[in-house]
Amino acid sequence: MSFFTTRAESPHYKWWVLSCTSLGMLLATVNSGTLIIALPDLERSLHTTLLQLVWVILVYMIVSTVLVLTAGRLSDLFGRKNAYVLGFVAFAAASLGAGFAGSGTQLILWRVLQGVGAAFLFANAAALVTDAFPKDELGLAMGTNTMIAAVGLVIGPVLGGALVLLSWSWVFWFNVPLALLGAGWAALVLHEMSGRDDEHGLDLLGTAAYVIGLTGLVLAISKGGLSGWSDDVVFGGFAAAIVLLPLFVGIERRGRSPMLDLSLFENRLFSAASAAAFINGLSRFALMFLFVFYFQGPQGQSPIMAGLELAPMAVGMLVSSPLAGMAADRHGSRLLAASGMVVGAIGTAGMTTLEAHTPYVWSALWLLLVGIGSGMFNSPNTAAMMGAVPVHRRGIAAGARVMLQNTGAVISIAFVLAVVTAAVPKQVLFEIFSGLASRPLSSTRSSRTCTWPSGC
Amino acid sequence: MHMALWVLTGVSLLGAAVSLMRPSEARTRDLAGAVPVEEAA
Repeated sequence: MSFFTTRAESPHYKWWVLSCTSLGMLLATVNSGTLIIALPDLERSLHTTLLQLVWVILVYMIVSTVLVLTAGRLSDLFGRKNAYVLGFVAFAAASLGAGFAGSGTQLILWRVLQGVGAAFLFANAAALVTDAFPKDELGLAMGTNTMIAAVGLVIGPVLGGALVLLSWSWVFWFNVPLALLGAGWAALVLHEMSGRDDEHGLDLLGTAAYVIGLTGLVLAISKGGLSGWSDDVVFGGFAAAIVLLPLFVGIERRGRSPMLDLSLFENRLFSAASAAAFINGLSRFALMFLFVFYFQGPQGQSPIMAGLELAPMAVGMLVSSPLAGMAADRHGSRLLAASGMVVGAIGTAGMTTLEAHTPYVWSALWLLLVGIGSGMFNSPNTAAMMGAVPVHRRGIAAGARVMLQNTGAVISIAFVLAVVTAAVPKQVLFEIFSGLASRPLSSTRSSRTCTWPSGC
Repeated sequence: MHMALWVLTGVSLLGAAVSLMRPSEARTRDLAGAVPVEEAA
């Protein structure tokens, strides 16, 4: 049988599926990296406020996080192949529109649509791979997906630096051919491997409660650092979170078609691995954000150099994730996942020794350790979660995993933003975000002595 | 910012503890009979 046969019964089919999911992963991670580097250009071209600039990132994360379960549900109902192709098409359309945005608000709205597309990609990637690969190769497959994500994290910021030389719009337009290629490739290669689970409908009430509750929480935390904790919006955001997030759990427990099937958590392995995925999101994702600030602020690097200097974290993931995946297939995932968290903790603790003029080699070392720890944790933990649920529930299980991890990531970024904005004067912060801080020092900055990590 | 980094370190260690406390795949019977990874291998 030829390697180029894409029939579902072909022994090579699993590799074709992996190529599709890897393309989706590459698209999502490259897009994140290019956008971070384009933030200064966005601010200058669209005259956004600092809060709008931050929400260009946060809104995509929230939408893709919240809708990932609904996307998983729709995928179980209508088929993973259709949902995956739809994800690519929505991502392409949103990227095209985002490049034409004339204001910060318009851009945020296009990022909402981009988040919808990403939700369909995230919800199905792990489920498609799990359907196609035998259990003893799942760790390797998950590790490969994580490795591709790490490649995207390495090339994203560098590519972003090149694209903004043309215009910030190209950071978004670059995604269009890639996403259309992904849609065509998925339509050509993928087959429906599992029966459709049409016993359950959609949970609009639960989705609405979670959207508004989480948005309120993240808005409150991110705005609190900038505008003060007594601001009305901050108060309203916290109130919405306190009321709606517990209500969401109640709706899911009693509803006939819950978007988050709480029965999945009756499996102790699944529930503990889910909790670990949430904690991983909470502990890791803000670090990249924090180091973009550190490299462009106290260390005075250009955005492109800042992107390059972040690379050790992704390189660490790149090396450790496939090795950890293979080791998990042979020896189980529990010890590996726990060790990954400890290695990450050592890296994060090491970062507390960094000062404004500490040589870069120390940042590189700690970032590398955090990256290695992430790779050691992610693929074994994901493989364990996916292996613990029946085939027809993997769409919703994959969605639950991404939702929990991304909820941790969004809260983490908002928390770090609140700490940073509380420690650094708003004007200095704005200069750093808009890229002015990497130019010759303005009078605002030259009158201050910046220290890291204690602030300016 | 020291505080933020120490909090993130503590959260990572909490994650390690949670990962250690979960059952290993070999001893887990899942919801609908999916075969544990080690047994399948």
